[in-house]
Amino acid sequence: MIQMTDLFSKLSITSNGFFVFVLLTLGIYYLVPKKAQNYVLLIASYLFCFTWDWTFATILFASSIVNYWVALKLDKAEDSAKTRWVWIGVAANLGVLLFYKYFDQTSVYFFKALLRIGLTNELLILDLLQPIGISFYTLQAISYLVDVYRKQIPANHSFVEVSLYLGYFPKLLAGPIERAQNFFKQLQADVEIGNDQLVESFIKIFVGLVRKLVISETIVRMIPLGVFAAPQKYSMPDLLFWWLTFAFVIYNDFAGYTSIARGVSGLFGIQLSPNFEQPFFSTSYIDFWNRWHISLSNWLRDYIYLPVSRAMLRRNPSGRYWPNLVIPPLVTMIVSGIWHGAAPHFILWGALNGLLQGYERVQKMFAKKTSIPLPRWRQISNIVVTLLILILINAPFKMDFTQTLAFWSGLFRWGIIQTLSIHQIIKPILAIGLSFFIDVMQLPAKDELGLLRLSKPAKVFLLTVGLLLLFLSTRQAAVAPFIYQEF
Amino acid sequence: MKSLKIKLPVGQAFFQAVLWLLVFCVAIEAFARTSAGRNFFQYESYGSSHPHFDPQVIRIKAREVQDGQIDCIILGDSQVLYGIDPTIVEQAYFDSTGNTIHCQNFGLGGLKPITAYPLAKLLIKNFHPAVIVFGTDLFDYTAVQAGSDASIMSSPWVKYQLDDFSADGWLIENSNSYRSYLGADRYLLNGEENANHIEVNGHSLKFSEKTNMSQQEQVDYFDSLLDRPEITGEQLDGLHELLALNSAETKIVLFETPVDPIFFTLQKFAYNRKVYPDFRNMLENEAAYVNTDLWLTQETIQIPTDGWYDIVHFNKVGSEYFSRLLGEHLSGITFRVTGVVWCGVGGGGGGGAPPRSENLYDCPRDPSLRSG
Amino acid sequence: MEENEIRSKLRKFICTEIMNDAEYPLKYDEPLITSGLIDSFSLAQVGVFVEIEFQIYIPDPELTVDNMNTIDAMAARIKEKMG
Repeated sequence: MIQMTDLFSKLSITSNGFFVFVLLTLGIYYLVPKKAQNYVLLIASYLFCFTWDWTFATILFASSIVNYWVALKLDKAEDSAKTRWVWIGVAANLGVLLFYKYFDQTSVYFFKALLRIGLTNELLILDLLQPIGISFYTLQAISYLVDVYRKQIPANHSFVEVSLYLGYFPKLLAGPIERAQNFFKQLQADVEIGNDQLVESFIKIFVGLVRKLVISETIVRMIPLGVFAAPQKYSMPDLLFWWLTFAFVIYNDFAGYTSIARGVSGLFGIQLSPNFEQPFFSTSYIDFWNRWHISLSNWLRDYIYLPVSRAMLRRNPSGRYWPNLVIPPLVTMIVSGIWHGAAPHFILWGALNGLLQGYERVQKMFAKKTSIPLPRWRQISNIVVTLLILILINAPFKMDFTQTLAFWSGLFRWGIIQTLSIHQIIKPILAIGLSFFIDVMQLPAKDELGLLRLSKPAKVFLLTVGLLLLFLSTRQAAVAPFIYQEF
Repeated sequence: MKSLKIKLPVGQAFFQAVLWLLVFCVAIEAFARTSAGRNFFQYESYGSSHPHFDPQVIRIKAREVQDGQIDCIILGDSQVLYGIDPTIVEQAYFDSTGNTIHCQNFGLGGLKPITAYPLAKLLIKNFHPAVIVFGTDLFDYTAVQAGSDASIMSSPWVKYQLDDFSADGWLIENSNSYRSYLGADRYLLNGEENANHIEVNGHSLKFSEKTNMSQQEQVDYFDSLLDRPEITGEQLDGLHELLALNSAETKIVLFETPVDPIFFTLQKFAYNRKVYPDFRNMLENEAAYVNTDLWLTQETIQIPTDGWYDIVHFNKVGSEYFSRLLGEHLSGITFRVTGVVWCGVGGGGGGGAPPRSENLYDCPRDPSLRSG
Repeated sequence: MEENEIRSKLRKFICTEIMNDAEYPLKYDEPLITSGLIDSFSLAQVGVFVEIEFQIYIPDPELTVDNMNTIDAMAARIKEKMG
């Protein structure tokens, strides 16, 4: 028998418990009077948060109160006080985020420095657990306050709606990062969920599960444990192959998650933003960041890139002045790196991507201009080259500073360990093929619903194959324990 | 402010897909049960990630089909897997008694008494051996780094066999195609390296010569692996339960798997010099409790100095030497004999024994010749 | 200001300052970003140009590919803001 406590512990978006939880919530949601529906969502969201840790729910609740209150203040305040309030609000949000996400990681460097110069003799580590979703709801809270400050939207007087904006369970764990305006509209809208919406939601969940379980987790199991931890030990073919496949792990894991979150949310009549537009078909670096984690890219564009860029252009409006082209994307991507994690390698990651974008803009400045589409082979080679360079440049997203250097130099070296064998690469290659197949299917309308546009027999066939793969992929063999000469 | 207006029918494509999936599953299972199917699906798995578990289960099942009955199963950890050659045990037993028995090695790297107990239950249930010979030593009872037990016990098939029902366990037990899928999946993960070195009789020839590690490196390695040498209650309970399975149907006997005496120079033993005598007393008490046989070897048997692969495992020389002694030792123990044939010296009575066969598999399997 | 005048000013700015090709025969309904003529980052330049030239502030969230892909679309938005 499955224990209830096990079923509902730390609900992740692909756990059995999560789908039971969603069904129960859906039942209650459509049974209660319409006015109570948002309350049902809020209670469900807090229960969801509770399955992780009660302190997480407490922090989320505190954050909701503060942001609700500051927004109301902002609405009423005079111009000068407004600026003060928006800074207080943003600082409060950032403070909590920095404390939970970065204190332990950065204090290590700080206290190590103190140790070295003899000012202390112990490390202060608080062992803080990072509250789930905090990186995501903090960005949403900041955008809400800034939008109210800029008078783009009025402050919301409903505490339930503001709390849901931050804590709505389908998007709590990892977004998408919604805009307040769009989300409040969805909460208030009168929507009828019919067959079409039901089927669309189902397809999104189905495709998401295939991406996450069939593609991402299949590849992850095959990757040798030490290959990114100790890249100096591996040979060029190993490093190259496993790092390329790992890009598909990250992509399908996150795109799969987003697809499931969007599908589940659709069942409640709330449309969440898309996050991915077949990014691996990008023709340039800037194009890639417009198609990858779109809700974050949009956030960064509106609250970092455009303000920085506009401030610089007001001083020197020339588009040919190179700092105008290079510095704003560089700053933006470094902020993105810091948001992803507190370690120096994330800053390196951000800087590299920012420089790549800056380089692309300068280069474009001098290129011959035409809007005539390139020949097909040039388009394809552009896509392949862009993708390969991006994947190789993104090594510090996963590896720390020294590992990254070892990885890059390893690409020119023949190491000790060569693990690649035919039987090992079969599954990753098939999984990558499936990833591209789904992307091609989704390309025409840039959404997750490609399956719906097929003929009935094709649909039935692909659903059958998908169901079979889902069944089989959840039953894959566990990785063997390390046994050499144990007794 | 949201309302639900679903008109039936909805999701026909999905339900059709479910039906097709069922049809597909039935067809593939039917194919897997034909002989062509069995040839086509080369791999099989019983759902454990332990590198020796699948090959051992596959081999013991094949052996049962080949010989009709398995009389004795030699259970233990890597010392048994690499160190006991059942064919030599059978031959020695035959040489001593004239009786043929079928012995199978079921050694699994890292196996501990706490897992040996449920495995013995599983083996008794499936193969009804007359005797289970459990090889054990001091280090099974001292705190050692996490072993491989979880990788065996997490197999849904093992759980299913031990009455912990799951759909997975049921499928592994009953579906050829499902076992084949799991086997193919494991092959894609690990290749064939795990299975190849294990013989039909369950004995592994991987450690046939001598390790590349120096003796000092080995000593350091095991020192790093061992915690304080104290006998832990958990493993003791496992042994106790295992011995409690001793019955008229299946006898459980114990033997000590010896290690190179150099092993006792490990620094960790400085903590507790008394641990070995304690261990010996413990084994004697446990064996006496269920009135079964215990064979202590560490201090009574001299293994040839070229018989070690490393300081805890036999190589080919050592395993041939020790397996013969084990076979001879078994010949002195009474247990229910099944399928034993009159085919050598020491049996019969009356008008002259049949000629002794050089190869014990030449013995005819004729019930009328069975010893009474 | 007439919409046509807005268009021609925008065109001149985009061709000389962003595309760095004053001779380019840019049409008013020619897709700028989706065709790859300029990138989405350049919309910041358009935004600031509009601020300086027409004293119109286009908020950041409106500087998107969907809203600003052609000169026609930009001009319409500016005209609308002018009231």
